[in-house]
Amino acid sequence: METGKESEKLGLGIDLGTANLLVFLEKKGIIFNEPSVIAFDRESGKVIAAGRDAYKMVGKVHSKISIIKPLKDGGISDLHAAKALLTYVLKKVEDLTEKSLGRSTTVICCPSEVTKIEQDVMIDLAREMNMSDVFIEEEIKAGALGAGVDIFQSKGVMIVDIGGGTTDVGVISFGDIVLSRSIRMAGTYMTNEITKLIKKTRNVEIGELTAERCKIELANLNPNAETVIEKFAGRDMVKGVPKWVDISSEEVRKVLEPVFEEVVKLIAAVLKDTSPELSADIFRNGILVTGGGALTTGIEGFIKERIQVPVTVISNPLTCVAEGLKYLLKNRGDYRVNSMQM
Amino acid sequence: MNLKMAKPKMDMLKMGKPETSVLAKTGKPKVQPRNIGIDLGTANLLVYLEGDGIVFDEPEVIAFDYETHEVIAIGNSAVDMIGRGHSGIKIVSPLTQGVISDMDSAKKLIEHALRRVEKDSINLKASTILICCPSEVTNLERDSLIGLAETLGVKDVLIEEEVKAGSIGAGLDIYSCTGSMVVDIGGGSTDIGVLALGDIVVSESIRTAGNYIDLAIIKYMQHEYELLIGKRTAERIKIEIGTLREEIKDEKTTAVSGRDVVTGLPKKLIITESEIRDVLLEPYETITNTIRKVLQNTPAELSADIITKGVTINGGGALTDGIEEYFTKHVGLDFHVAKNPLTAIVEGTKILLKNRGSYYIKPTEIE
Repeated sequence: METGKESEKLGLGIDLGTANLLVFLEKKGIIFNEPSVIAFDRESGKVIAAGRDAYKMVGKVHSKISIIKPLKDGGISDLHAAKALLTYVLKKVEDLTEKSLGRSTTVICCPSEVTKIEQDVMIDLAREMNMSDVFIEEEIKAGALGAGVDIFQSKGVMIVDIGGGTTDVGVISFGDIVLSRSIRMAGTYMTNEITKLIKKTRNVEIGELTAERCKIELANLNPNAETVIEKFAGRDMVKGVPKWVDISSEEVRKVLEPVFEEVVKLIAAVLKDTSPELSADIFRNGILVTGGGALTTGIEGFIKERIQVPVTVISNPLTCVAEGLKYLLKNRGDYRVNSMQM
Repeated sequence: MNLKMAKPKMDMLKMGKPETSVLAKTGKPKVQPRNIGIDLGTANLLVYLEGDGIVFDEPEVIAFDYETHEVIAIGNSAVDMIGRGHSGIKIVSPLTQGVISDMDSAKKLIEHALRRVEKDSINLKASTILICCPSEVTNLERDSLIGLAETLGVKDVLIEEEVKAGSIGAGLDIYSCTGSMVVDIGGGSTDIGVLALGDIVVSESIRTAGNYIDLAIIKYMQHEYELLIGKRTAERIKIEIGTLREEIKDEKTTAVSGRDVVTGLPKKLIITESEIRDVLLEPYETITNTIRKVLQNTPAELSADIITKGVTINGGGALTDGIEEYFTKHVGLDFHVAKNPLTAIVEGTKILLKNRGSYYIKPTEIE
């Protein structure tokens, strides 16, 4: 970056997810991969922490700090905070200021079924940061590329991306999306369901971070798996005192199942609308699962049992979208240019 | 008798006391600004002076000559006069229930405490002073603390909550994301707080504390034995045989003397540990309820931290025998007494003076 400052343009890929923010910088790779959370000082409006540091503060702050998650259900809900988060990250990690961003090409990805307005907000965000050259791509496309699938061939591929705010299902062929659907039911929703469960059955309120940890540690969709019981701490809602609760993986599975059933329904709906030629391809290649939800134990078996199509979880479910942005930056999302062979 | 005791001290102080006030000396070359931390408690006054450490740690009492209004004694020597003074001496505790009730005496007391330091020339005008207050004081009470600093001539004043300073002084890392809980049982007020990320998340303050317990003991003696005792005696009983243990082995006793209410004659009798325990139970139950109230208002994520880390007890009340077991049993969490319950607050001011109470500047980052 120091050398040839004038001639070279920066290539920047941003995966602004509900749960995590990933930033990809051309020639450097993924420079940031942390939760999309930002903490402000209420009085001065200054940013105190972002990413992992801010995430640790969730549910623990005093009245002088405000914690904001700029995204909700896949869309930007707080533009100011989103901008602050991106600016802070770019400045801190790579020392990119507005000036250098002016010479950049940026690709931002979004969930499949976002409205035009939500897309415009993303572009507004980039414009506010002085990024002149911006385009928006769908997450599943980037995800497929990041998973190492050559989508530019005439071969149908199905991608299921279970993220933080949305679950996206899409069929890709000839370098672009043939059809895609999305529901706003994903990681965050599951975490909330777990919180509700503990509230209902134990009368104990657990914090967001605890619920998330509980999900990651206990989620297992395999009904025959051995039951694991772990201890989590929360606040007794009747007495108000802190209390330990034992949560079993069995219970967690029961809450998560309906959510994954919805995902399966969505896959079925997309498959129904897929043209027969592509269906044949999908049956041969199988369904690729990405996103944080792909890390759930037993997800392959769960989907396979219900759809009767082979299912593969890709090796890098959390970073594949950002990695795929590399290829999209090269061809600017043009389906005719096979950037994987460039 | 009393006069003899008080007299030499009075002379001593008079001799040692410079005629000019601290402020008037600002012209001298030795004078320099200092950072001063003050724990202005109802029971004790502690003063921290940067470079010197804790320079004053004595009861919050000052004795005046009634006519000339001159200061006769402060701290320990003034405390000995309580309930014993003649009409020529006026003894004042400048704070009641955690807040300043006599501004002039409070000012004089701090002035004299600072003067005790050998290098007695401090440029107060350019110094920074940090005063601790109970956590639920009103703005008016806060202003009175600022006013106190102003009458001392200090322009740069910081007011911080006692629980915050106390938890830092007790060695808790309140600047991390992990929440901590502190119960500070002082003289005038009991402060309970949950802290995280360098500041207070939830706090509660009640006026049931050391002095309240002393009064309860006085009342008990009056009703049970028709014996009038003084505040000092009540405090001594509390310190000597006060306990919260349920089962008392080898019961301790102590002799109490006072004035018989009926006959008016001096009387001496022996009281036991278990009697005093029963007196202590009522105020400690109030404190337990307040702890529960704070826990109820604590965010769930912090509750989870508290259950793993436990609760720290600070302040003079922490020295009560069996207090850890009592709270652990009644609240159901791990309670432990800080290693320096009496000086924790003023030690915390040392750090708060460095980062000026800002929650996002960790004291470790400054050094």
